[in-house]
Amino acid sequence: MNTATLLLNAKRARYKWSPRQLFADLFAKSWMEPAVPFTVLVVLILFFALTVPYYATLYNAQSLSRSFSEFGLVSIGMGLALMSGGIDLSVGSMFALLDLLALSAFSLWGLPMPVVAVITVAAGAALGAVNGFFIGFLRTRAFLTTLVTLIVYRGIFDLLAVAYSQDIAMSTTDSAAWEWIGNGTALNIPAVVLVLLVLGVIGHVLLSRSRLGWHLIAVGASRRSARHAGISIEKVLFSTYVVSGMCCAVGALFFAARLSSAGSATGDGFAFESLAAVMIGGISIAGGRGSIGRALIGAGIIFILSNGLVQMGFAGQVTTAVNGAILLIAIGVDVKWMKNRGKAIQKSYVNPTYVDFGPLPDTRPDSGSPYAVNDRLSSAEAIGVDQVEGPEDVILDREGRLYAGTRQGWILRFSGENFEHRELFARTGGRPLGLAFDRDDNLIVCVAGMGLYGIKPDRTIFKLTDETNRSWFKLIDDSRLKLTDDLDIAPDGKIYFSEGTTRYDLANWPVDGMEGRGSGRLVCYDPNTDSTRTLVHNIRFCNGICMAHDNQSVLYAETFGMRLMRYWVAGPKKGSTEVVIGNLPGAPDNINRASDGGYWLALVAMRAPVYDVAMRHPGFRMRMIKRLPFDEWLIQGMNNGCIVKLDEHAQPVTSYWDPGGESHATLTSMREDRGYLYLGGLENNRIGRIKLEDADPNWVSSENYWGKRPVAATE
Amino acid sequence: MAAAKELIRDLLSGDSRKHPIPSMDGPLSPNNRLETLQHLDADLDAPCDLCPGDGGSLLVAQDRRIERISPDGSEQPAVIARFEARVSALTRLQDGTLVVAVNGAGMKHIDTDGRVIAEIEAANGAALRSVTAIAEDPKRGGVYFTVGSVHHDAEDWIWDLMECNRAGLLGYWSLEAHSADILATGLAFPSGLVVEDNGSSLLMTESWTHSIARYHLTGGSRPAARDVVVDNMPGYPGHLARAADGGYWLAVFAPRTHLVELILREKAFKREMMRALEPELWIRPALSSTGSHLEPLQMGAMKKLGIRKPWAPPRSYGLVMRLDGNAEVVDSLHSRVDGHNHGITAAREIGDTLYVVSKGNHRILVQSLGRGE
Repeated sequence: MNTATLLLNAKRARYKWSPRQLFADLFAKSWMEPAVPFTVLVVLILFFALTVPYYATLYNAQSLSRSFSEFGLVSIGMGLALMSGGIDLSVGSMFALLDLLALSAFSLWGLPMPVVAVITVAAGAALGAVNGFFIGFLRTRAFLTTLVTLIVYRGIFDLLAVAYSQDIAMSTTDSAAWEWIGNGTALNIPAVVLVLLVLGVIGHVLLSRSRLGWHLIAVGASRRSARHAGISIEKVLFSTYVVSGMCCAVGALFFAARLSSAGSATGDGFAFESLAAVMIGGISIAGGRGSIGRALIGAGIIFILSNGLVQMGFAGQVTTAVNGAILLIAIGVDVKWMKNRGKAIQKSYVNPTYVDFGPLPDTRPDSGSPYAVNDRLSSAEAIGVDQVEGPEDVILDREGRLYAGTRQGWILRFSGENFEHRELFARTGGRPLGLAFDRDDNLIVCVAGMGLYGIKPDRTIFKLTDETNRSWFKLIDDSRLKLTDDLDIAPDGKIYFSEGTTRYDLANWPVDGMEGRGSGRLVCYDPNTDSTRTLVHNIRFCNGICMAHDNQSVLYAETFGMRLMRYWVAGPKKGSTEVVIGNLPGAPDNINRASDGGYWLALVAMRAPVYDVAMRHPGFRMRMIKRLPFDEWLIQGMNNGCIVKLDEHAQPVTSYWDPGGESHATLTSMREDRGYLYLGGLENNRIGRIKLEDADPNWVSSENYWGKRPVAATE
Repeated sequence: MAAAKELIRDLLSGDSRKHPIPSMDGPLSPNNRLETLQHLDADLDAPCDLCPGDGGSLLVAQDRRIERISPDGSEQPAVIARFEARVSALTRLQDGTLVVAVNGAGMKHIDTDGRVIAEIEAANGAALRSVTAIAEDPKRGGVYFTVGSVHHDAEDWIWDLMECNRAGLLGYWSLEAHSADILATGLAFPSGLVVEDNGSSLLMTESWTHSIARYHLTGGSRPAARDVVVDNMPGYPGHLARAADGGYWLAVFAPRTHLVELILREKAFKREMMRALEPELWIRPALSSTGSHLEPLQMGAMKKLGIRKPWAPPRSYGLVMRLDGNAEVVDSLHSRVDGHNHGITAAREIGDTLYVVSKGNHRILVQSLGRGE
């Protein structure tokens, strides 16, 4: 192997895997957002464990986790308020007041622990309800309202604390249960941690999987939209603040049991610290974004940091200052992240790779190659000029009526001697692409953006499938079918269909070619079991599908691999794929049967020589994509029409051209029927047809599949 | 490595370099005027430049010859001179003789019957292989001329652009003394030249820097000072000619596109493209586009519903600018992407008619200026 080959192989290997794409996929995941704060938390714990003596001991861990859990509960309350688009500044005051209440109930009134717990939580709900009532029903601003209740509750606490704290401190009431919730453990885990875990899991499920949680997020994200969607904002906000109060109550209960005193500084600074905590955890102050887990991660960071700094001997003022600085950074990052996350994903989404198609086949008119340019399509008869927009595929039924999908999402039907009668056959709601008739004359359609659908002769639409099995080892959930493109139906009713790419939508489909990585799929839907299964993965835009005449294999066009492939569905090679034509002069689109036992293959775009050079320079393509506006990108030669005639072994025989795409640019499909060849184009304003001199004039496409049948009385 | 360089370049340079191509608005707002003009009914294969002849006729430089054409079609076209290579520029002096630039062979001073009076192939040791513009100095009895590049012939301009050369010259050929001087070197393909204000200054276009510069002449052999008067034009400025009422006609022979600007910086890609492919197949500005499937296509130029958008990224374009005395654009004539009159290599006002040479479409377009009445 010489140096040049080595270098080339190194280049191929370098572009085969793309860490950038992994990052893009990762950051598109919502669970990736707390990844950074989580890492910070782990690093902080490790740091203090290594620097502070006796930090990493069971005793210290228990003691820390107790205080942390109380703070964590308060942070959950704050987090919920933020997610609903508001804020709860009164958490600290509520915490103090409820702490005093719990202590009084236990020490002064001598109530048993469970009763104390119920009273405290109920009182927490009541305190939160005050906030909720004002914010939810009277529409006051969350910030001002909770600021007022912060002052009011703190005032009440100060008054009562003066009156009762002495008595509480003197009290000798004791109970095992009270002692356990304060200082007990189960399996070395403090009680409060267990409670936090249970509540956290319940809260997470409620928030992410329940109606109430979704409503909360919806209200936080956009109040107006939530109202338009019929969500009762009043009730959602009211319950949010009630729950916030209850969270404080649970925290306060454990705090009371642990310390058995109500110092005047109780809950001081909690509002500020918990706000910093949830924001650093990644809960947006703008609302609508966050989770329980993020609140706890953020609380962990703030808590570990403050506590660790104290343990290292810094003064309290320093910790406060550090917390303040962290809050400031968190707000800044929040704003920037919110603004730029989508852009960051978008910027790193397209990752061109090294592609070498091989030498470009000769297309010169006098070359004698099957791909030699001619003008056999230039004289095509036009059908429905300016009455049809983008007939990606065309098909004829038994009666010779012509169907085409359009970019408006319609299926149009042309009938009459010269197809002068145009009618709207059906509206699909997506972008209809590939068409095929099944045994019962239902029109089966690949609708891009929706999936595989059928239309009965009486025009009722039914769904066949819109999901396939999710692939393993892929970050992005690719079970949903996005760009279903073309299909064909086997005699046993199985529908083989293609999905162009799982990474781009139809508006951006040429970008998939620019990238050159395959993400398309060949999928099979079995109506007998109503199941969908992916047969072939990682196809560079899987496009046209055609059952071979012997029904032993499926031919599929790999558009941006510039090749035609075969997948064996029966026979000795069942389940394997092979290359049929490896180096086409253009990008193959739909493929259909011809009357002579061969096939027709449309080339939607031609390979310009410089495009081939660009495909060998992924770095250039990357910079082009990043620096230039979409319209300025180099793309495949779409301004051309070319159909290749294949023999029974699917090898090229000759071709039909409309050079320059004068009337049939982006020619995507052709269908032979009764001696004519009908032409469709993804971006065209017409359907074309040419007379085939040596074709069987009695050959009908759907009869070739399903046999002759007396035509049923039409509607 | 290229990415790092790009980053540094982005960090160091201002906005004007990041968004290099200005949009065409104001007096440059696109129109269809060049497309709707009448054209001379003459059999032209590759017209490049023209100048007035005797008796209301036109002298047209095309391919390797100069033809006399009567604009009204009253006389048959007649070849008055043939040369060994393509003619790239010609001008008519006050005494009726012509100075002609021939690719790879310098300049020739000929009379109207094609007899060579004088010729020059080199100046100060530099071969004048691609003279792109000639302008007479009425006072000194000589001509100023520009050489596009010392590396390539004028018709191979695309190589010079792609190599990012700055190898153009400005010179003066004294017809009396039979000697020539080089006045300036290192120019970015100068290709248009006029003498202003009776010989006190020169106005010169530089294609690869998309600019127009003014040289102040003091009578000595060297120009005194150089000012860039127009910078960053949206196309590659070429032929410059005086308008009767002051001001100038500027022929912009090709458009700039973001993709080409990018290619110019992409050295590895550019090198392979130039090595492996014929120039017609490159990503490049061109005088005309064939629409062949082998030519590169840009996303916005994709045909939709049978229509090629006129505002699509152009490969070729037709543009004539009307400049005022300060070289500010005041008006423009366009043939857009969906048109054909592209690749304007000359626009010259003769009498009260503007003749526009569309080399891309092999036509001479005629615009009556109606100033005579």
